[in-house]
Amino acid sequence: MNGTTQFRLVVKREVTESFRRTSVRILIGVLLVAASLGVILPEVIGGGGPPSYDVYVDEAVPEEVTAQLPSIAEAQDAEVTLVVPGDLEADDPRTAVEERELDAAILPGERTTVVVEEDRSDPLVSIVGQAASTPALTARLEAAGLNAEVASTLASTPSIQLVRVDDEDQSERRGVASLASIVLYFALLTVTIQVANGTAIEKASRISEVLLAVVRPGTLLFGKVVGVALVALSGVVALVVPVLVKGALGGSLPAAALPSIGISLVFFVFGLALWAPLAGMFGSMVERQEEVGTAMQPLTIVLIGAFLVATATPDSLLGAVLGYLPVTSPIVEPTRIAYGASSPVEAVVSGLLLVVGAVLAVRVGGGVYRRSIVRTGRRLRLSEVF
Amino acid sequence: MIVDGVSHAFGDRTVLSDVHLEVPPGRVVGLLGPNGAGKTTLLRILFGVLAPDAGDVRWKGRAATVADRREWGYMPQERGLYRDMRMLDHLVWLAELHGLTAAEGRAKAEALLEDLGVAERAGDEIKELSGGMAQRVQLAAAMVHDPSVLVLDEPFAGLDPTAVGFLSDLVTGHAERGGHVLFSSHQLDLVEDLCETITMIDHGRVVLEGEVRELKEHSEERRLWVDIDVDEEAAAHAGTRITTQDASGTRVALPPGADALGVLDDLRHHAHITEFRVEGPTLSELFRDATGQRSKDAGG
Repeated sequence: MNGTTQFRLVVKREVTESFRRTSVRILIGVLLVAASLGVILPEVIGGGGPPSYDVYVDEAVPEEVTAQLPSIAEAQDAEVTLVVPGDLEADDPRTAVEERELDAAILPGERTTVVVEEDRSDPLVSIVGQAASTPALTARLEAAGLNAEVASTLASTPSIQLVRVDDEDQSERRGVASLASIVLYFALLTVTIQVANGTAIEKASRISEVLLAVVRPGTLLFGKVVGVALVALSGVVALVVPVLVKGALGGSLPAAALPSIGISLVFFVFGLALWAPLAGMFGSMVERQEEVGTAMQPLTIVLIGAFLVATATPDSLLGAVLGYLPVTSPIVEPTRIAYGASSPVEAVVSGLLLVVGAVLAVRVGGGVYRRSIVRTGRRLRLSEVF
Repeated sequence: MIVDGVSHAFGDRTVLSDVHLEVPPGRVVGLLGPNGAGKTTLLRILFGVLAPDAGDVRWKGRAATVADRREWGYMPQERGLYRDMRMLDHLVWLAELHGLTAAEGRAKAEALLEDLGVAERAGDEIKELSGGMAQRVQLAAAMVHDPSVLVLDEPFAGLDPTAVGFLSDLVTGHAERGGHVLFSSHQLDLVEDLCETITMIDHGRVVLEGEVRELKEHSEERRLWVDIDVDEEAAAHAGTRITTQDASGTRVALPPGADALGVLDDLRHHAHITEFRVEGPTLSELFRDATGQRSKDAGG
């Protein structure tokens, strides 16, 4: 029997025993359903019809404005509901806009005034702006010598649709980045805890002694790592497949989604290669399974810190630094890339440093594991087995 | 199988020092000693789990290899199984690790579970089994690949007398079929009847070794046990002294060269004796003699 066959058997046991547990099957099913709903619901809810706006038009505003509003809105795939003074609950139209009773108000004056909420970036501004300027434009065209009918027709020509590409893209990027950091964090946390717990159980139950009489320590540790990683990966796949299916069927996806999935998977795999051997190392140093939490504290603190930075300030200086550190980059760097805060050079350097870190972790973690797993009787200190 | 001059230390702490041990085929060999004597460390070295600082393990006249060790069976002290795995699945998986095919492993595992009387629970998870039943499965795990060498670390710890008897029969049977059997125990008197050959270690050093029968014969210590209460005066009259006394009877020391039947005759005058026997030293006493503890106890 060669080492490869034994490695395959160790991996197989981890995978089959995990999937035999109902809790694991349910969890993966829930992830699949949640991801499917996540990609279908926006189509159902968001695609239900054009946006509709409540717009107040003062009685003193030329009738032309009121007449033009619906057609201009229709040209921009929107609907407008005209609100008359008697329908207002607020004292005046400005207050009504502030209190979001209205989306916009068109008020008379020397120059027609449009009132909208600050930072409004949807087609509303374009629609009411164009409608409000119609009388003035008609008047200028008439003054230029055109007859009233032609002037009115020209003035009512629908404008181009206003699409704020940058804002929309940034919003999508933020969403994808947040999702990437959450998935990576929970996947890495789950795997490290599973590997550490599994190792501690094998040591505490002395099954490791039976196995180490037959298989090499490296086969046992890395077989477990790969087995646990495959189970975790199946959870990630359950999340990703609905997104890929939607993309393949021509559904709309955020532009950053597919590249983020690919980059996140690469960092996830190398992140596992770094974190799992370290988790195995700490798991092999304890005497009882109950001690795993304490032994793993340094790792979990780093993971939580990376997650917080990735979700809160991925584009900060701290985020940039953590994006390079191999122990934090598996969570922070994919988030920074999705967020648009990382340069291609940074991404490549971060990836290379992570690979180097993973190689070191495999060597150090494997070595300490080999020495610790056979030392029983009490919890070991790093200095004793390093 | 020979353990040849093995020494091992954990940091500054020496746990084994120049230990020599032989396990011939067809014999049940006991590796005996108190807790912390170094027994488990020696067994781990035997299986290559730990590398010795000095000495080696020899098999069939040469240094034992990884392939050799895969042919051996090891049952560690307590547990040693995945509690969440099903009994049969576990045994088949272990058999495959030892090089059997899945089909061979399944056939062997089913036969073993039948022999051990737990076949009807083959689909149960290990954690659902009682302690004695789990110990049987543990033994099956050590034997599922039909090993030539069977090594058991504290196999009787925590077992009731029925389970001890059952396990003893299996161990003896393996030796009778020409296999090598080595087991460790700190319960010296419990395994007294099972061992044919012993190696006793204390603080990592061999303090006594040889055939149990010969070791006892070479000891001048003899006792006479009778199923009556004997008082000090009667014992003195018989030229002896009481060593132990309990509800089952009295044990008196026989001085070197004393006539055991003469002492028995003297004691018979005090009460009707229905049972008696002449006893040599127990393994515990041999151990305490070898480590000088008894003379210290007597002096102290």
